[in-house]
Formats: sequence, structure tokens, C-alpha cells
Amino acid sequence: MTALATPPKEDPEASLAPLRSEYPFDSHFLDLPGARLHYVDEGPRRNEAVLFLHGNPTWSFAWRHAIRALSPVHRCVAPDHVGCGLSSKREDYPHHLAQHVANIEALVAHLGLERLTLVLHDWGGAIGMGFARRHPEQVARLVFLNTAAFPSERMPFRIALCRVPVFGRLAVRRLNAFARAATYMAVERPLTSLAKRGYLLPYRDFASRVGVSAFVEDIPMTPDHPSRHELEAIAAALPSFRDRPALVLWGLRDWCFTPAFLDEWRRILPDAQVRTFMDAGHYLFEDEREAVVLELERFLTPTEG
Amino acid sequence: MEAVRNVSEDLRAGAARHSDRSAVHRPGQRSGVVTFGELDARCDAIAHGLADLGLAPGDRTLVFVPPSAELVCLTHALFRIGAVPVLIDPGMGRKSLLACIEKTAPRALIGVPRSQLARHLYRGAFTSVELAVSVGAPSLGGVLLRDVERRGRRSGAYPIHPQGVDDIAAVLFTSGSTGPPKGVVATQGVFRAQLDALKELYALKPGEVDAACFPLFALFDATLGMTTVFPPVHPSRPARADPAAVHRVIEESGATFSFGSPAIWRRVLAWARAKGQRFSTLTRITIAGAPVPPELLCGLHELLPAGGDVHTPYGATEALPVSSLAASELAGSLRQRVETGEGTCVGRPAPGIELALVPVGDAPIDEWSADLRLEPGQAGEICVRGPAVTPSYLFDPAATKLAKIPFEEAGRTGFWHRMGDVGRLDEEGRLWLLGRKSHRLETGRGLLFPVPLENAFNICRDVHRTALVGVGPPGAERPHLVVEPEPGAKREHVEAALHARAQELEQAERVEGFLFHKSFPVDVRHNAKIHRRELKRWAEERVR
Repeated sequence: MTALATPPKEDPEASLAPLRSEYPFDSHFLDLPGARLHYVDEGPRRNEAVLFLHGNPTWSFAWRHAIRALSPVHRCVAPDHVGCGLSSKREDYPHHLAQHVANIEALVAHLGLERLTLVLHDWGGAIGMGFARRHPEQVARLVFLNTAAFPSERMPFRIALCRVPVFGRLAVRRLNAFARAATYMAVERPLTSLAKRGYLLPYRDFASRVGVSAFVEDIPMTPDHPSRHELEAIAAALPSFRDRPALVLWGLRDWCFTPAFLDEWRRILPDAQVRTFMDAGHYLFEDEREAVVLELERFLTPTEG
Repeated sequence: MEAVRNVSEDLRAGAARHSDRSAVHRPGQRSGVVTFGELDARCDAIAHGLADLGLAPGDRTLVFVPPSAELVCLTHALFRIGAVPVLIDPGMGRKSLLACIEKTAPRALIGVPRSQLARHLYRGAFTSVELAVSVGAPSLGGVLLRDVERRGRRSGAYPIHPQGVDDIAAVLFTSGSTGPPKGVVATQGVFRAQLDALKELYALKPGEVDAACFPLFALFDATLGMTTVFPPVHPSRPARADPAAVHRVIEESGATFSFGSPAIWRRVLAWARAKGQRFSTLTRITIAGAPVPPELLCGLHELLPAGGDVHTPYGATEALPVSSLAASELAGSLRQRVETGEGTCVGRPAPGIELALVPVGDAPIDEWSADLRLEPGQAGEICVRGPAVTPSYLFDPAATKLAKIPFEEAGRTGFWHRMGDVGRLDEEGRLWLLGRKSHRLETGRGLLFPVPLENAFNICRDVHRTALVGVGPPGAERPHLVVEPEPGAKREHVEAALHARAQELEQAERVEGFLFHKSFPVDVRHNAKIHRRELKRWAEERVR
């Protein structure tokens, strides 16, 4: 490990103070080549854990309700991908799918985790299944929330707009178009001011939005995109996870990950349990926080007989 | 006349409280979810649009739209105008359907292209129609519903037509298994009372999710503030529904309530048992449409989470619910009483329903008198009165006279409705069904009703179903039990089981013989209502 990573501009502890009532977790950092990875690690120290992987433009804050509910029984590990949350944000970092996957591998190795339940949202689906493809023996169970781990020709217009070379990058970074829009477009019930503050906290200035912008650009829509090959390899490996218990939780009012993606999951993992939420959108862990936590709890608790 | 809140006021009030809550969802469809706010706005827009086209309070309007968000919007738009939706079960066959339409003399037709085509092909039945609105694809000259809605979109909330208790709210034609279909007149007061009774009986709460295996229940859901999810059940072919898909929709939507016919639930039960599947969120199943055997009620009960229950209301389009029975009640000695030939227990009277049993007969009864009422314990035709009981049949005074008994009591006037079923009340106030009045056997030793004996023999191994028919003329009918064995069952085994059962049952001595029938003549729709007259003729040819 090198110590090259730039520390966050502000003391994370201080910036987190207003969120502490909902996000009362200790911050941990793992130094990686060229970056510093922030993660939450709560619950009993065992080599078995629930690994939560967020998407874009969120961070481990998205999992706060689940972690608080599950950590008395389960070890809960939730990193912020590099470029997101309280992890380092650098212009020159290779913000690619393969790099994010490698970071997760490093974290899992560092913590000595051997048996994982992956809980994946949004772009976390591709990262998580990228990890699973390389370490299938460590993956015991899978949970998918409004996510994909396969290439899709459908990209919603609003995200496509963010990818228009100059306009998109500027809108995302100058105006925080992606993260800010997500705080109202991804939820069906207005976020509390605390939650909104939490989601936007890491993305307050131009420099900090590098990851959000990079993530949007890393959606491999065309065959020649640098991450396309990685994503195709991940998609090809998905059917080999059919024997793992899987749960798919889906907010039906998601204009990005539409029910068409859900149908694709059903096709790939026909034995997965599916629970849909009619009143929820992309941030279903906000819209249906109790129900989502309840489903996770039910899935993680082995039933008798 | 006493005023009553138009039922569409409830939908509007619910939408005001929870505008963003999902109202209707059809899994697997692109348009996906419709919220209460959207639903309410659509009702208003359609109401304005239809009123602009001249639709007025009291106008009977044929509605041929499959159960959907659209049907809910249309029905409520008509309620708001004060127009009268006429819903005809399309499963009744073309001839009956056209007869119903002609009898109704509707002023408007709102329907899918197929119904518009029918309007042109069978002009005779549709001569009264002045306004045709086409739903879906444009066709054959009707105004498009989409355009009607667009026309009314900017007009805001429609001033809901105030209604009296006795104002006609809707006309419902269901395929009666006996005789030609009759148009049941439902008033605003009837709908109000039905909603109250269902809410109380099944503890229905706003915000719940109903998996509407009986899709028309969506109309109640919207008014009660419940979310409707449509499982893939074809409204006129429920017996062919894919049980795995029904189970999946219930589980995936987190449905807490479901209403459906025995045909659907029988399939779901068999499938769930074979696959070891249960329900995790569903706490109430309600089964109606045909008699529900205890085995089905109790079997489904076992699939529900702790505290869940399976209910079967007894009633008809003319009066629903009359009474209701829960699986939890049936679990004990009651089930045994059903299976040893006391009849089918249908539970205690529903809220607001008053019951009376009167002597069995086919003639109209001109006036109610206290001495019509039979002594407790005696079998007679079930009569009901109360606010949820419909007052008449549309333009059919003869049928109305046959089914209603006017009363005058302490200055109050009203009517009793004759259910056409024979029953008995037990000491604890539970109602037991003995059979349809028209299915009674007139034997040399008096009347015999089929249900008790059929229940007792239906539980025999390898027996699918049975029907008690009389061979010979009324007054000298000789009871024979026709048996439809399970497919592939060995004849000798079935015979042995039937004879063994007969030894255990006292009433069985009245059965003169058993006959085997490969496949009963039944209604296509539910695959449950047995065509008894046909079966009687068949039996008579065999026994002679």
C-alpha cells in the first residue's frame, strides 16, 4: 500500500457531524494505489459479512438504515467507490469498472472476508458481480436492487443527456446535475432534508464530482467502450450463480432501471425471489426503507424446516 | 329521499390524501403503475369529456372494457356524472348478451373495438345507442376515449352528481346458471352498504394491496383506497389461470388481500402443495362465485402466515355479502358437520343483513307476513333484507315480483329478497345451505335437497364431484347420486369407497343408486356450476 492518496479536503468527521443521527458509523480507510477507500464496517467481526455496494451518485450513506438494522447480527461492510462519498476524488484516477472491481477485491482481502452476501444497487451490480466472477467461492448469496450487470441498449434520455461530451460533463460537475437531480428524481417520496444533505454531502464542489461524472461516462453503451469488455465478461458469468440464493428488490417507478431490467434478472436467475415495490423509485431504500430492511432481514435469516 | 355520498367521493377523498400512492398496477406492462392522483384526474377528465358530448345523469351506458385502470376511471367518471354504467358479463354467450343489451336500451356504449363491431353487426340490439366511445384502437366511427379524455383534461374537478340512496348507480348482468340473465339494479345506497360490510368483515384498510383474481374487485379497491394488482387471470376463463404466475404476482407485489373464484384457488392450492410454496404477505383470501368445499378453505389457510384467514362470503349479485365463513371457524367440529351431511355452512349473517327462511315454493309472494317465517331449525328458502340488498331487476317486473316480497312494518316499507337457495339456521345462528331451490328433489317421501349428501360423498377418495338428481316425475323422483371420479381412478375402488361411505351415513339410505359420469356438464366459466337438468335427463336414460 502506498500513502499517495490525497486526503479529503475537509475532516470527514466534521462534515459528517450533522448526519450522525442517521449515519452513526465509524469511518475506516484503506489506502490503495493512487486512492484512499472509505468504508463502513459494523457488527460482529467475523469472516462472514454482508457487503453493500452502492451505485452512482450515492455512497455508503444509502445503506444506513439496512446497516443499523442488520449489524447487531450480521457484519456489514459498505465501501464508498473511489470518486464517491468519503473516498478520495482525483482527476487522474482510472475510474473504470475493472478498477472498481479490483478495489473491492483489495478490501475483501484486507478484511479477511471469506463468505459474502452481496447487496448491490445501481452500478454496484456490475462492480459486485465483477467481484463475484473472480471469486465465486466467496459469494454465498446475492441481493439486487434496481441494478444491472449486463450491457443494455436502453439508456434513459436523461442519463444520455449527461453523456453529451461537453454539456454533460459540465452539467454534472458544474451544476451537480446528476447527484442533485437524483435526490428528487430517484425517490417517490420527498427525502428528508437530512437525507438530502447526506446524499449531496460528498459532492459539494466541482473537484469532488469527478467520480459522479466518471461513472456516467463509464456506462458502456457502445461495443468499443473501455468497460464494455469487462461488463460482457461479467454478464456471461451471471448464469453460473443460479444455484445461489438470490433476492431481487425492485422499485417499479425507476425511469432508469425500468422493469425491463427486472425481467432480464428473472430470465438470468429464474429461481431468485422477487419483491417489487409499486410506490418506490430508484432509491427504494429511501422510499420503502422499512420494507426493504424487512426483506433483507428475512432473506438473511435461515428459515426453520 | 335520503341523500347518500356518491361512492366516487371516496375515490376523490382518498386521492387527495394519498395522491402519489399506487392505485392500479398490472405487472409486466410498460405503463406499469397508475397513482391515485392520476386515477382521480383521469376520472374528472373523462367525466368532463363525456358530459360535453351530452351524457347526462341517469343515462344508461354500456361498458365493455376489460378490468384495468381504464375501467376504474370510466366507471367512476360515469358515477360522477350520475350516468349509470351497465356491466354485462361477456362470458354469457352472444345471444344472451344481445338480449341483455336490447332490454337495457342504453343511450351510450363505451367499449373496446370488438364491442363497436358488434354494434354494427347486430344493429337491432343497439338501436338506442346515440353515443359510442371506442377504447383502445380507433374503430368504426366511435369517438376515441383518448380524445374524450383530452377534451376534459383542463376542466379541473368534475362537480360530482349528488345522489339519493335509491338512485340507480349501476346495472349488473351476470350469467345466471338458471334462466335468462337479469339486470340487477344496484343503487348508491347498495354500493355504500356493500363497501361498509366488506370493510368490516375482512378488515380492509386503505393502503393495502389486493391481488384482484376477480378483476372487478378493482372497483371496490379504488373506492376503499386499496391498491389493485392484476394477476394474469383472464376474466372469463379463471379456471385456466397459471397458478405459478398468480402466486408470483402475489408474492412480488406484497399483496395482503386477494379475492377470487374457487376455480383459481383450487389450482393455486394444488400447485403450492406440489411445490412446497406458501404465501408470505397475504393475510386474507376471499373466495366467492361458487360453493367452496372445506378442503379448499382449510388447505389455503395452511398456506398463509400466522394470523391469516380464508373467508368465503355467501351471496349473489342481488345481495352480497349475505353471510361469511372463515376457515379458522371451520377448522373444528364445523368441518365434520359439513362432511357428515348437514349441508354447507356459510357462516353468520353479514353486517346489516337480516335473514328469514320461508316455505319452499315457486310462485311469487305478494306480501310479507310474519307467519311466513319458519321455526328455527326448519329448512326453507333464504330471504334477506338490508341496505346491501338490491331492490329490483331492470325493466323486468315479472322477475322482480318473483324475487322480492314487499313488506310494511311499523310504518316502514321495503322488500325481502328471495335468494333462490334453501337453507337452515343452526342454534348458534349460522346459516347452512342445502341447495338451490330449483335443484330440489320431490320424492315420494317429501323434499330432498342435494347439497348435504353431495358434501358427504365428495370427500370419498377418487371422487371428483357428485350430483344428486331425481329420476322420474316430480312427486315421485327417485334420488340417484351421479359421481364424477377423479381422472384415472379405478371404477371398483370408487364404488367400494362410495358403498363404505354410505354405510356411515344415515341419510344415505335415501339414495337409490350410484351412476358414473366421466365428465359433468358444467359452465365453461367457472367449471363449477353443474347443469343439473341435463344430468337428470342423462340419468333417466340410464336408469329406465
